[in-house]
Amino acid sequence: MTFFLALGIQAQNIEENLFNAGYENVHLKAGKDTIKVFFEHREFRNPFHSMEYAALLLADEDFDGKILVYIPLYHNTPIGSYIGGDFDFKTLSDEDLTFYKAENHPFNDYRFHLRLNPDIAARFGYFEHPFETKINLILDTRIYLARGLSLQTGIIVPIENSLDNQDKSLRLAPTMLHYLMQPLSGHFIGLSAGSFYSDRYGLDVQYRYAPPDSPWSFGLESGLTGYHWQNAGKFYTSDLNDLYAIADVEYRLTFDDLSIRLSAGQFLFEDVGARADLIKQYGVVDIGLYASLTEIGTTMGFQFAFSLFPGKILRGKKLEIRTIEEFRWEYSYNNEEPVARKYRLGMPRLADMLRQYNSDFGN
Amino acid sequence: MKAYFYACLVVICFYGVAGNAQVNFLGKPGHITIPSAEWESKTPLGASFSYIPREYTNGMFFTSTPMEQNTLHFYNISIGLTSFMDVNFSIAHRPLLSYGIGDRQLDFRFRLIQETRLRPSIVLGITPPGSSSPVLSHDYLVVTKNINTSIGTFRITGGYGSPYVIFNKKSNSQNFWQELKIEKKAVIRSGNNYLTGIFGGITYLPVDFGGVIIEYNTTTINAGAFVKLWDWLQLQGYTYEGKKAAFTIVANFPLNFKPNTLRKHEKSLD
Repeated sequence: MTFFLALGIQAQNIEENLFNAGYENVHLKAGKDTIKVFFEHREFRNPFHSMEYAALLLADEDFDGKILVYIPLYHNTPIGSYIGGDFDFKTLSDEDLTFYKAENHPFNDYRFHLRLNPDIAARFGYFEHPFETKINLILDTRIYLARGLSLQTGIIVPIENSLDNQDKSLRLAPTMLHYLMQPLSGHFIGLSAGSFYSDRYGLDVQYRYAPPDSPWSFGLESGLTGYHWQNAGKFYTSDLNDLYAIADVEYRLTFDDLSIRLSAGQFLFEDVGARADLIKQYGVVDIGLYASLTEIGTTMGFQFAFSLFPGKILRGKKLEIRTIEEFRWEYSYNNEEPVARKYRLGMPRLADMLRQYNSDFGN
Repeated sequence: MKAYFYACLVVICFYGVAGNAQVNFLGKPGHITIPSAEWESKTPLGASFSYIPREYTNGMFFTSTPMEQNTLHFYNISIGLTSFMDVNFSIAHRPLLSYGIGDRQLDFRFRLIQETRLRPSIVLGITPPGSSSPVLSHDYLVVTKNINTSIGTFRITGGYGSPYVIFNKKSNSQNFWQELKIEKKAVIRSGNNYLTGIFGGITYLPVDFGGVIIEYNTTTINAGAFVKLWDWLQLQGYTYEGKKAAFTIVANFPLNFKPNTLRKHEKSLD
């Protein structure tokens, strides 16, 4: 009895300490031999860094010999449980999910995040204008509306544009409703509706089977989108008539945190073909190399994804201002033809997000 | 906005750790213009800039423009993607020409054998075939051995560059695979013989932060020196045949760093 009372007070303190350190939606669940820590941590890109940081923050706490188990949430959805120490993966139990359902308060348990997100497009190679760039600063946020359901929206502040004829007035940033769920262990579904990057708007559906303790994962990505453009304070849209549908399989090699991914199907602009990716995860940074072969053409290129420095800029009880946790940039060797192109949603796609949760990455 | 990026770059620089990279003008491990079989594993991201005097660009990379306009700048990025594969990306820019950004070069290095006390390291360098203008393409096998003596280290490199190149007859061809053709470099790049045949070089490092270099790149004999200014920054100055001066500056960064907040917290615990 005294232990439970003590734990109640202790749990409250821990939840508060973690919240102050940037963790949100923090809940502690005491079991017979374990203490489970549910949390969402949006500052770091890599969940193993978040767990490592939490472990350091909780290092001086006395848990009466119980083992800490971390349950990271992504977009208000629990991904899996990771046992303190080596962060070995364990599937979430029904009990864990029931507990989370009862404790989860989508709106109240989060701060309002204001995210700084530079948006850069560049084109090299033209004789007259060798280096054309378009630089915008996007200020956006994600608001949690219900379990797994969030709204991302913001404004675009144009800074420089020598790439196209879009004017420099303030614009609405990609704005979408997003729903993430894990209906069965290892099976993830992501639904998005709204406006996306690459001037697209419409519907996007992703399914992925990616158990964090398996080197294999499979996915389907599909979307029905149209072209969308804002200029001089006006919106222009084309019909929703471009369908893309891609299936992929990914395998994580046993060394060097390398993954190989093969995708095939109909890409954006009804371009049928295939793409092969080699992706290396360094921790905060991912670097990938790819080759594509489609009806439009053949190309190679690379992509970078990393958290922007400094991360947290300002944090209070209700508000956090920070730089984007995942800035992604892709460079294609042929810069004109849109070979095997997809649009960016405004958040990592399921494959890129779930790769971070593979327990082999954390070890 | 630009200031923000430079600020980020400067901050990233301060997290640099010691690398042993001595690079060539394309930003990959090498002596001056030749590649070596050295391998950089601690700082897998390298960014470099090289200046090549106009008199020597045509000898290495075929150009049809007048020599007075051929001053060449190389902007290079190299990435250690795996423990056995590096990727290098270079943009060749000729600032005196209104020719755009210039040629882009993507190539790979594969480590076949790792250096040990007795064994040299061996690296295979490959430029993916298929460019319609393969002026920077080169494929080679290179061997490097570091010999430690009481007066310093001697880094000795020898290699062989392929005189052939696989290129694409038409640019932007619909039938990519059917247009591939194998040809002698000397034929499509009339008379320039950079890295075709046997090349070699020696760097003598009396101290661990610098050394002197001499090399033969199959067209010219070059000599120079390099110095590690900070752990993450190196400067290399050299001459082509003792006639024209040139330089390369390279910065190396680690990629396995932790997030800022976590790093600060760990520091506060020490």
